[in-house]
Amino acid sequence: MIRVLSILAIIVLTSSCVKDNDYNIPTPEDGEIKIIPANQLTTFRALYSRYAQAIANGNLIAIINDNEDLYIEGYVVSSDQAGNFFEELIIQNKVDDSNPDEDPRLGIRIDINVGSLSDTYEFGRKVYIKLNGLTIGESNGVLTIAKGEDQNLEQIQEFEYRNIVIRTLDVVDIKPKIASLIDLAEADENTLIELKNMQLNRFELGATFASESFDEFDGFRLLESCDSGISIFLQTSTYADFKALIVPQNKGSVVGVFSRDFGDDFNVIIANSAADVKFDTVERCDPMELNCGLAPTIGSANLFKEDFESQKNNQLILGNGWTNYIEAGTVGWEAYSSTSSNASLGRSARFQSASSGDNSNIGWLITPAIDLDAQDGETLRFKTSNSLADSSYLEVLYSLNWDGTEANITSATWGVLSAAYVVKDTDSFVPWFNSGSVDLSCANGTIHIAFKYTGSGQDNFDGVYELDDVSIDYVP
Amino acid sequence: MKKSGLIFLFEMLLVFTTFAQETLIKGSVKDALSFDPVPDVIITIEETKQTTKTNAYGEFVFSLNVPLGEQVIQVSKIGFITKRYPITVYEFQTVNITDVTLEADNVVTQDLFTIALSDDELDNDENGFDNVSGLLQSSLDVFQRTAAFEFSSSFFRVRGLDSDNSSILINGIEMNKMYNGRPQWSNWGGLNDVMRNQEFTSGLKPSSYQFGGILGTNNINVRASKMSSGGRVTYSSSNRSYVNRFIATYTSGLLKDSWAYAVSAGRRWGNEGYQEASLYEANSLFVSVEKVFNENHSLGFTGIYAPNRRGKSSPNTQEIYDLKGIKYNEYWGWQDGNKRNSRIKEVNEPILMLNHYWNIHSKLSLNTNIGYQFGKLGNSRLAYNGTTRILTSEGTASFEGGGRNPSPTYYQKLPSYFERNFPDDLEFAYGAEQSFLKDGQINWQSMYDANIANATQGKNATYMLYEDRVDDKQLIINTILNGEMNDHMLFDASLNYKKLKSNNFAEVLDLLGGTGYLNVDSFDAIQFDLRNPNTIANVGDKYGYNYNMFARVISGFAQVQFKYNKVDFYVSTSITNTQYQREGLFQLETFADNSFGKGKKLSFMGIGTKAGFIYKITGKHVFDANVGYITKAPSISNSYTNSRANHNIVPNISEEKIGTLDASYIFRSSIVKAKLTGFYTMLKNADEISFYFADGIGNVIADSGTQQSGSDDTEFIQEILQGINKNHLGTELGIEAQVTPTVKLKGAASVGQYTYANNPDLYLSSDRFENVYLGKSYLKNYKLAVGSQTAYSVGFEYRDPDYWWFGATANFFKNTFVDVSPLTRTNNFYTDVDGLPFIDYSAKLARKLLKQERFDDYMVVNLVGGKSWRVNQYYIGFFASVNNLLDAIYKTGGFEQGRNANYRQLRDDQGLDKPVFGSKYWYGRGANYFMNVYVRF
Repeated sequence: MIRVLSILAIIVLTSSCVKDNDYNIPTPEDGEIKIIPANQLTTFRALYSRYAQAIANGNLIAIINDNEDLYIEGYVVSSDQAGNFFEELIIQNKVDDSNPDEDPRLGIRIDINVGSLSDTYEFGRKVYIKLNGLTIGESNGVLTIAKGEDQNLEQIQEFEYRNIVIRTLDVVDIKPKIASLIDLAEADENTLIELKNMQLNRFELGATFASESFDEFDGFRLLESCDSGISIFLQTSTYADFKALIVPQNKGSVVGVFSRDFGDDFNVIIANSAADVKFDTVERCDPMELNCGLAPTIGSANLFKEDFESQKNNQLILGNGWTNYIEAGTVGWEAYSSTSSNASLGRSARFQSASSGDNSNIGWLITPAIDLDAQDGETLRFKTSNSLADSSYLEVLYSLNWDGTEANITSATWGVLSAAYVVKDTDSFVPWFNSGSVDLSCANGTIHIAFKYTGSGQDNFDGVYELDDVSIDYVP
Repeated sequence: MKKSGLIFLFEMLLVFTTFAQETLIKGSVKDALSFDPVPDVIITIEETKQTTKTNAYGEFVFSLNVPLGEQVIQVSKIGFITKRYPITVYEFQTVNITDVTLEADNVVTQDLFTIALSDDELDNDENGFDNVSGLLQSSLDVFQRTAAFEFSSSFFRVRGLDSDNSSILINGIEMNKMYNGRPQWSNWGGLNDVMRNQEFTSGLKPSSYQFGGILGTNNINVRASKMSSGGRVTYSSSNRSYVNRFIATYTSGLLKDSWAYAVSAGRRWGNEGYQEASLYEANSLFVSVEKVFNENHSLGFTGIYAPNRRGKSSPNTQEIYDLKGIKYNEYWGWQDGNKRNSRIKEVNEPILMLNHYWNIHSKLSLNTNIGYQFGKLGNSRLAYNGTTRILTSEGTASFEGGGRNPSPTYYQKLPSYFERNFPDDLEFAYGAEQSFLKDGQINWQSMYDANIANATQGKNATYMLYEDRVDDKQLIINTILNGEMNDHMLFDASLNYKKLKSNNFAEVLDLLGGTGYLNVDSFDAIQFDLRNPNTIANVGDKYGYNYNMFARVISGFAQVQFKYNKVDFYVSTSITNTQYQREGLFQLETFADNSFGKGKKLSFMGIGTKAGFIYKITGKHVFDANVGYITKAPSISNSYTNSRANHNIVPNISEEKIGTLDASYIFRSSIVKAKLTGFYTMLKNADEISFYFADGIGNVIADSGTQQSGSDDTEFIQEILQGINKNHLGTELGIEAQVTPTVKLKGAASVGQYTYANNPDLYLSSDRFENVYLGKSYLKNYKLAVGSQTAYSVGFEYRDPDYWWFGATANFFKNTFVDVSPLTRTNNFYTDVDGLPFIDYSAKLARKLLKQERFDDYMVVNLVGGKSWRVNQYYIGFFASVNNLLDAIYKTGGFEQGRNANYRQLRDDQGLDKPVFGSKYWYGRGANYFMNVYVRF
């Protein structure tokens, strides 16, 4: 009997296995590969033009019919792994900076109500988007594919997204387009861009990526090019894993998705990971600075005064010792007057690059020389305003070695007047901002003050800046 | 006499007849295995219904009015297989039927008319309910048997009490876990054959082993010398938890060389029980050897090894049950063509014991035991917030990663979420519903995809399967003295020493295609172990938390029992000193000063006293009363607020206090046996700790100074309910009537009222705040969620003399209540972030929102039947039971989700047709079966 029992026991113990571990690890190759017929594939450009057409017809969105079997293929360039993208995929049609005419390099945003999308669609994954029944519209200021209804975009939902964003087996190495800020155009939105020789503006250095008290939803940190001095905001979500890191102090390159801020007011670059901000060159490219602070009082005597009332509208600023130098482009500082909500102060000076058609506009308006050794207590005052700055920007600079000739403007050493408040890209267009009483008295020698505009005729860089009531005073 | 095929209905026996002056029927009865005389056997002459009982020597005699001619004598005793003998009685002759053998019928004592539960439901602790049927199943009392076998699948609790009020002993060694005070039944599951010698003392009744819990004490005696020799092979099949069960047992009995041994091996297995993917895999091995040196000394060794794994099943909201039915289990998903369950409970805690029995003299014995238990208890689950340390070019680090909750019932995936958030786009809800109906399970593939993609990018795993582990090492030494001063006075005493080292940690089980899992909390980039920061855990490594819990208990017990003709009474007392100490092995960054190394020692003193008497008015009418007052240490789980994180203890912690009394009237006649009991128990100063995500505690977060925005009102919290008083009041009735020799009617009822008796204090703790006092939780008079507070059972048993039987019961359950969330019963409920009430607070609506849900009453019909045969020297038995024959669908329990902690959130959620955070429920099983075949020799 014992023998029978043992045999039975052996049979039971060996035959009665329960499957609860030792699973085969599934491999991605197990997935089905979907082949899209070539005639059902469309280009990104076609989607852009469909949207443009819809706008032209007075619609806000372009709808693709349910029965229209249409796909695009693209590469994922966003990653929500670090939390800096949320419920969206950014897809571009090229793996590098190639830009053929028949299918130019473009990107598109896909709005999906699902988190951790990079679990499935990691960076570099080639995907198809099944467009049947989807909608193309603008959201966050960039072209977006979503569901749509009643002229609104709505998110693609959890239960359907796997049937809309279809993976292929390819995961490719995406080479970002290396660009300079001035060249970035609307076509670069939703694509991966690398900016070289960049640094964070010196006033951002103590800040975190997005954990400051004033950061709402996103933190914006000013990145500036050491080559051109042009700047762009680095946008970081307040939900990003690296939000609390202090921004890097050195200079180097940034790789990220070129986009617009949520309110579609200015350009931004969004990094997938803190590691994509590679500032590995130790020296920075900060400008020379003059910082005597703000003066508590203004002297009663005046050295230079300009209210532009004597200038002519839409004519270049002339006289009163001004040097009005056009470094690039075809427009310069002009006089104007306006009584709109964006009013001038009587007559004012402004720089407007819009519709100039120029690739680049740089204009200088420079005061006459002031001898700082001749008196004491010199101060500078002025007022600035903007009208949709569009990433173009205005700097107020000084030089102690410029010889007064236009030929030597760019070779002279120009520094910034740190204490002066200059209207920023993000400021409202309505008010005029006082510079404050900028103390110049800690400098010696002969000084020139320059108002330098940088922009272009491109839509995303063609802002307007206004200037008025420039006054240099001293204590007699 | 009939003999057909394999079936023997009657035993052949020599009948001696001798001539005498009187007409006599006499004989003797012996145990079939040991040939010891069996006393108290009921001998019945079937025609005349005359009965007598055997004496101490197993002998009986009928001498008066003995009927003549062909008669049938029935020989029966509880616990033995009844036999019938045809005899012929002649006038003035003696019929002598010597050495009738009776066989102990394990089927009768254990399995007959019962539903095998002990290895099925007992350890289903995932649902917060526990089960006392393991305590009661050896009882002969009809109420207790009904509670054990008919009520327990509905998670009925006797007197509304938790099983930590029962004491389970094996060979005198207490097996209750120090972590929560409950017995871990699966430590000896599947060893039914060798666990049959059980001594149960119910309620406060004196046990000779220890003071015991107020529900009763059950000592399972596994001494090899006390088991009769023989073997048994059992096969069972069921669709409840396991699918197959196989047990083989051989016991030697006491051999001539004074050795005795017993071995038993069992296996229970199945890929799926009643609930989806509830896999079951359990092996059991038992060895017991005993050497009887002489009349006075005996030494035994017992080893029990019962490793088991089972797949857990989830409680669900009504929305989910409506879509997926009562078998639905959210914990599994397809992988490799199999259902893989992410939540497996694994228990692997071998027990070794040495027992010494010393009969100092015939009236005094000393039993000394050493027990050692070690091993692991694991509960697996998925982690989904794996992260990777990203170093910037300047050397600062961020932790990038984190995934999605893989639960298919995560609230943002269900139709209710879309109905609430997109009421104008019902196609979203429809789409979510279709998707959940079609799939609705864990997607293992997508987790592998994510991890594999991470691995190719040089990143750590986002997802992994880990196990919450408790690795205990427990030593118990005790000595028990039992003596008899004289015929009327018994005394018992014991000394116990118990020492526990419990290592608690999480361990990586499966990286799901990933390369490693960073030991950092990605939510807040918190180092789990500051001393070894940024460790990457691989399979088998510890992760998350790691600490030791040390416990030491010293206790003594003394008891005197007096027995007289009319009255028996007893007095018992015990004293217990309990110490706990935590030792952190990880230094959690959030609690860097308070997590690593040894914490403060906690010490508790418990004193128990109880007394009671039985007054025998007549043999038929007996009155019984007991009273007890006990203070005891809170369990480890109720002493520390968050032992995974820090040394913090429950504020104002002190001993729990239990006062209890019961009184019974017992009626016994030859046909009817009945017992009516009234009881009242008050539990005082208890603590309860719960862990969950709470929504709507913005004011608490604001007070902590860590609120990040006005909408920041969600936190994973520890809710500490302190100083809870509970009342347990009720009556129990058990009645059985042997209306004919073959038919027995039985009935049982428990009518109770189990309520919170006060408004305990509520504290909240989390990573952001510690022991924030939220004031009273207004729980007084809310019902306790302890299963049905009222239950009835009626049924019958039919037992044919030809060795087959069947029985049926109908069981009625009423007054089952949801477990209320204490947090919503605090002032936090109506408090806005500024500490003032919500401006739209309506007391009338609040009353409605906070009304405790009472579940529907229900009836469950159970059937059981069986038959046994004898073939040569083998006994073959078969029985089958069907539970819930009518396939009733019913809720056995449930709890309110703590997510909607305040008035506005609860109102907005409960106002929906399908609340997003509705209560979660457990449903009972539909119709299900259990079948059992055994061969005994």
